[in-house]
Amino acid sequence: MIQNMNRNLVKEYLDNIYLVVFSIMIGYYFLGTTTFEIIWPQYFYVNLRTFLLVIIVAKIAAENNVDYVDILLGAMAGIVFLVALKHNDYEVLSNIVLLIVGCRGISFRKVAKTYLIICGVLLFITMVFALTGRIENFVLNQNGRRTRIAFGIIYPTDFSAHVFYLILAYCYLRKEKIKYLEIGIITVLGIFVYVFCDARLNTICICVTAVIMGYNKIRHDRALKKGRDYSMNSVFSILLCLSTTIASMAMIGLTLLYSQNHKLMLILDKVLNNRLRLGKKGIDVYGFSIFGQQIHLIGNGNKWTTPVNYFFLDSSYLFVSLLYGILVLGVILLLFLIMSFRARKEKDWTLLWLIALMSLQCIVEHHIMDISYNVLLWGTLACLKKDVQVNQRTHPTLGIVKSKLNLWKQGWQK
Amino acid sequence: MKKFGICELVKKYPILIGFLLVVVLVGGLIVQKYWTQRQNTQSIIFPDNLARQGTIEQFQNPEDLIEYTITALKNQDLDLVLRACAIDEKLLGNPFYATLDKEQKFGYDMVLPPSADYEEYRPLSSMMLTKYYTEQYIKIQGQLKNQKDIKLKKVGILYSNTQLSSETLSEIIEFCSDWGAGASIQMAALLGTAQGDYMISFTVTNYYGYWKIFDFRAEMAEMKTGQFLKKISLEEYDTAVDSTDILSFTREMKDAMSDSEVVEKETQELIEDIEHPEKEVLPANYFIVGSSYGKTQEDAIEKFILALQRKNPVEALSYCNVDNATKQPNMVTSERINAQADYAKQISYLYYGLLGEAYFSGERTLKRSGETAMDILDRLNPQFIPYMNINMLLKVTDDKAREEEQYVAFYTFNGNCYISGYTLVKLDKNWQILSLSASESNLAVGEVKKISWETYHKWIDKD
Repeated sequence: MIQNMNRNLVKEYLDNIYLVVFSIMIGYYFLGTTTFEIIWPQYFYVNLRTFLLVIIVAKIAAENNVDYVDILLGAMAGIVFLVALKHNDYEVLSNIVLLIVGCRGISFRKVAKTYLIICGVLLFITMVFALTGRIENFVLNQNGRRTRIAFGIIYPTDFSAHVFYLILAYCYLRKEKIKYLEIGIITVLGIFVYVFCDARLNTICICVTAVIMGYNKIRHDRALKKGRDYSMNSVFSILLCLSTTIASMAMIGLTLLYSQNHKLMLILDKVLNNRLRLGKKGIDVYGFSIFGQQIHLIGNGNKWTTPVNYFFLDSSYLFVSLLYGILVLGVILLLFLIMSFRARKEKDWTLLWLIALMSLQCIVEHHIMDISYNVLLWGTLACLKKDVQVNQRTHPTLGIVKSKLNLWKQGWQK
Repeated sequence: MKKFGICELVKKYPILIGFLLVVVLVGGLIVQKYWTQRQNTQSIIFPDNLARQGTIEQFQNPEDLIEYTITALKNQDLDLVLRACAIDEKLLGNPFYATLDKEQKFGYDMVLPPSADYEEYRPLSSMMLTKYYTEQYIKIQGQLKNQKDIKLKKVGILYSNTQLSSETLSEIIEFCSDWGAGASIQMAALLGTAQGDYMISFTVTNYYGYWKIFDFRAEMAEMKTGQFLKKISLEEYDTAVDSTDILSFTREMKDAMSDSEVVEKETQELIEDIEHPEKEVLPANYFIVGSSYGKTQEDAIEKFILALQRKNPVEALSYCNVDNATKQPNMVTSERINAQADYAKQISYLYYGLLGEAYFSGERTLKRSGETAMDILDRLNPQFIPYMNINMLLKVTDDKAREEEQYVAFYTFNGNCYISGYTLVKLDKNWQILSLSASESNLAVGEVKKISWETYHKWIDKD
């Protein structure tokens, strides 16, 4: 009994240490998307990864019982990602898999909260530094478009994507308890990124998020008034669970079918801002591969003007399948599928909606596996149970301190 | 009713359906990958003689190499002769920059494409070098006049003392440094025929312990241009070629070069003793391009350009009308080698033009254009070719009698607009590229013209 208590205590400590390292890693990658010119200490990144690995091993050792599905998924992700890394040399894959496995068993609320605080604060600091001229602030005047400001991030669209994922994290934390004022603020943020960044597709995603959060709130409130819990239509909830897979199938399928001779395709490509044409070019020139390949993408990031030979795979599904490989895409889709069904089992309809929104955003943006962007990636193996959230209203470290304080008080009173 | 069934199925097995969808997507992509690979026609073919497996990796003794080559020449075996030549070694050591820097001039045909620096040019250089050696082979055969009774009497080093003299040695060191060789020796062989004795000379080069034929000529043999065989008496031969032991000489040569600290000193390796070098077969070191076709004219051009973007000029070349040149499809023939090398040259022109090196004939001095050899080498880097866009393909003329059509292709690359020509020929129901030119639009073979955006729009309006 005492041993079990100690084990739980150790586990909680390790979870907290993990979250600290997680914060540093997220921060490190976030700063990589800004115009801050930071010279990191030598081996900082490698040491951080080593530390992360040690904590994960310790966390696993401190586990009492691990879900077999988690073991299977973690092992599969580990094998596929690390084998792919050997083939395609994208080192980020090892960090992604470590962070996914590391989040296993930790309440996703805590992970999302950590992400929101770290990225939110860093984004705010970046904006202040950019607007006060301390770091480069890309203000782009592109042909036929309004002035686009990146606010210290390497490109205006990337700034808007940061805003979108921060909104997702915030919505997850607030769930159906979100107030109309907050939904209004989300809409204002959508308009803000449209006005200052001219990021049309992210604006749509942010505004759709606001609409869905409003709809979700109304449905929950109505059910509450009738004295019961809101339950989503079964088939519809399954469709939301399959959203990532369906979105990837649709985007890859459309890209494969793209032809300059089809008028409908040309219209669709125009709507998607050349994503079909560039995706098709990527498939034609480089082709799909099982474990990915090195593709030199020429994007707009960190540049004042559009590069002459622009070639960027904006859609996450094409980005992952072409650069990281077909199997990595398969594993990611599987992870999100399991996460979705877990959320459905927990009747966490907000999370289901958020996953669907992410799936939609990933059709047009390449951030599905971006460490400092996609907060939902860290929820794939994390604990989504609602009771964890209820039991852990107080931070675990605070809980331990409180219980010790009570014991000491009791002893002192005796 | 059916809809209800699907809903029920989804409700009953949602995870299984999700899992199946992921499997279908992953499986579909894998199938697409292998299907695309199968669609890519065989770019390289192996005619019967080229398909022969090598029986020996290399010759460590230049005397064995000469014996092997003379036998192949006697048997009129072009394939075996080519296997003895330094094709791969020369294309990888190709001193593009050094030559331009030394000569202070540049021309489209002055040197091989920079294959040592950029891998995209390697197959092109390989085909050009194969043609170079094939031409030498044909000339030798012409001078041998189909004599079957040739006997190899002697093999030796030409003026061994002169080759080891400090003056010649410094020239050899510079030559080896340019071409990435470890050593170079000028050799000669005495051939006995019914009409008398002949001398044939060779320049052989050493690479990591093995020897290859660099040229079927040696400067010290003092033969006229185009002459590969010289009628010679035994006395004359013995004067030119002394009885120095070849292996001892090669060691001496290597040592002398190592002393000068230009070439790294190699450890003395045991040289493999080969009893019958004339019976051996060296591994293949060149290739023969197969035939691919486009279903339509546009399809042929698009596939050709896509292959270039995939950094696969061999596949691109397979869409050119190489097959037409050959009468023996199952044999390596000089016609086929020449045809594919000519197309390789056209592709190198196309690369140069697209990379901003405007087409010109002859040579120009670097001083006049205010450039350095490095500027040109940097400019000819084709690494960004995959990012090029074909904006439009325009038919400019149609010769129904000859079933030939001319097209102009418009490209956007490096922020500029370029055009180049394509002449296509219909073969049965398919199309192949006859030449990278469009005479109707004044676009010479392989020529790429940079045009202004205004001109581009004029062309579109005309269309």
